[in-house]
Formats: sequence, structure tokens, C-alpha cells
Amino acid sequence: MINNLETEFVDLLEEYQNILHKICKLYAEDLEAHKDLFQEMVIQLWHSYPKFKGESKFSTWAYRVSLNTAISLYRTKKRRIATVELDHTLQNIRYEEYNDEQEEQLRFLYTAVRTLNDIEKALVYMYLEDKDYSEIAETLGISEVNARVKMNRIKTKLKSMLNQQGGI
Amino acid sequence: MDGLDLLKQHWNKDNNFPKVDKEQIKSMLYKSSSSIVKWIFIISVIELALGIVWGFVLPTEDRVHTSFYDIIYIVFSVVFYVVIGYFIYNFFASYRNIKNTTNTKILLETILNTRKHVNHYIQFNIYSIIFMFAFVTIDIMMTDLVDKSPGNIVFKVIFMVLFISLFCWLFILIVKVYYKILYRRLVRKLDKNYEELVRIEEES
Repeated sequence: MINNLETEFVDLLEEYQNILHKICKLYAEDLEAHKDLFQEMVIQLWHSYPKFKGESKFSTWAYRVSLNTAISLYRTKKRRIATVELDHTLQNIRYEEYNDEQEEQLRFLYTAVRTLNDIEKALVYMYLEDKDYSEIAETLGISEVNARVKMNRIKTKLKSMLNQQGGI
Repeated sequence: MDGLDLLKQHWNKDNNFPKVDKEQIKSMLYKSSSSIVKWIFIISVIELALGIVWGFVLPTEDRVHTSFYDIIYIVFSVVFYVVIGYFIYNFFASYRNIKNTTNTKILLETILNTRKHVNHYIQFNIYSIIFMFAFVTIDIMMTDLVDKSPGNIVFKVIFMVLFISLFCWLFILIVKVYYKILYRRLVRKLDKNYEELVRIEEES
């Protein structure tokens, strides 16, 4: 029974792992932190998987739990925890290596987004993922109107940060 | 083009993450979690246990008590353990309510509430220790000062009041330092994120 559940979970997670990677990309500052956060998300998802009854899509459930992990549960560590060896797998994730002009602009944007606070990053993540405002509001526990207002403020904030850097 | 929209364009195409394979995922499942909630739970249980243990490890006295002392001591002990039971029940009840599938605001609220029960418990313990200390000191004075000259009594009372005040001040200072070092570091992130969500609701 547990083995079946495990196999089912591992299959689903393997398929939807980019959800976790994308959240890590916004919240983690380097590869080590990416590995830590990814592993913590997997653990949290696995712990609550037996109660996942399929009321929503696996992907929706997974991004909610993963965002909650990044915002509320994950503890930034000074000393690294023992993580599963992913160096070969993750070494190609680009954190700072961009080449041409547009990639340089993207580098500015990622850097700017990483300076936002945890809640603002969650709003940005859901905006980038094309979630509608009712879902964004529901996920964070705020009203739809306030989610919209806050998102507009973040856009303005990012724009001015980028203008200051002469990015875009 | 708006900065975020440029990022969005790239974001949707960015599926260039190297794959973590099934074996790697499997081995992650049984790694120990390092979540804030786990640490809050461990620290809280230690603090709850210490609160109970201090009642047993305090040295018992051989001196003769006043009957007033005996009555107050029994009432205090009953109230102390009932209140402790209430705090422990509340702690575990709210700990069980922490679910990473709820919305972020509720999740943060339940974690912070769980910790709040332990904070109240610690405050209660501090007041209990101070109360017992003051109470025992007063009782010692009441039994010892009989047959003493008025000058002697005034001197001893002033000395005892100063001693109790100094003890209370030192004790509260130590607890405050402990909280600053340990507790603040642990829940700072949660407090910050919760306050941000509250601010979004208030400002807009």
C-alpha cells in the first residue's frame, strides 16, 4: 500500500518537478539553497500526499504546498543540511550566466525579483504562472482586490528598480 | 514592454531544468525535514517538559511551615498543574491544526498561534516561580522574625524586598535574552511574512 503510494507520488513528482524548480529559482539564492529548498518541498509534499484526495489537480496542490514551504516552513540555513546528491543534475541551472542583451535584461529582472520579500515573490510566481487573481488571493489568504493592488505595486517597484539600474 | 511581462515571456518557455530522476526523488522522501515547524515543535516540547520538571526538582525544605503556607502551597500546586495541563492541551491541539495545504495566511497564523501557547506557558511559569520564591521568602520571614526587635525586623524586611526584586529582575532578564537569541531568530521569518499579508489587507 505504502509502496503503491510512493510509486504514484514519485511518478507524479517526476512529471511536475518543474513547478518546484521554478519556485526555487525565485526563492533560492544559489545552487546549494536550491537543493535544500527542493528537498524540503519534496518532503513536505510527501508528508501531506496521503491526505491529497484529488479535489484539485496535482499541479495546483503541489505549487500551493511548495509555495507554503518557501514562505512559511523553509529555514534558510547557514550550515547546509545533508541533501541528496544533485550536483550533476542541477549544475546546468543558470543563476547568473546570461549572454546577449535580452538575457542581460532577464538577469536584471531575476535579480530584482529575488530582492522582493517572500510574499511579493509568491505573487510574482503566480502572476508568471498565469494564475487568475481569485486563485492568487485564495492561495495567500487575502482579498482579490488587494491581490490586484499589490501586484500593480510590485510591477511599479520592479520597473523603478530596473530603471535605476538602466536595465529596461 | 513591462519588465514583468518580459520575464513572463521567458518564464513560460523556461523549462530548461535538468531532470531529478525517480531514484533521487525516492531518496529525498525519507530525509529528515528541517522545517521551522519541526524546530518550533522540538523546542516547545523541551520547554513544556522543563516547566513540569522544575516543580519536581526544586529542593524540599525540612523547616517548620505555617499552616497558612500549607494551604497556599496545596492550592497553588493544584492550580499550577491544571493550568499546565490546559497549556499542553492547547499546544498539541493547535500543532495538529498546522497544515501545509491551507492558505498561506492561515498556515502562518496556526504556526504562530501554536508558538503563542508556549509563550503564555513560559510567562505563566515565570510568574509561578516568582510567586513561589516570594511566598517562601515571606513565610521564612514570618516564622523567623517572631521575637526579634523592631529594628531587626525593618532591616530584614528591607533586605528581603531588595533580594526578591533583584532575583526577579535577573530571572526576567535571563529569559528575555534567551528569547531574543533563540525564539526571535526562529520565528522572525514567519512574523515578517504574516505582517506583510496583514499590511496588504490594511494598505490597499
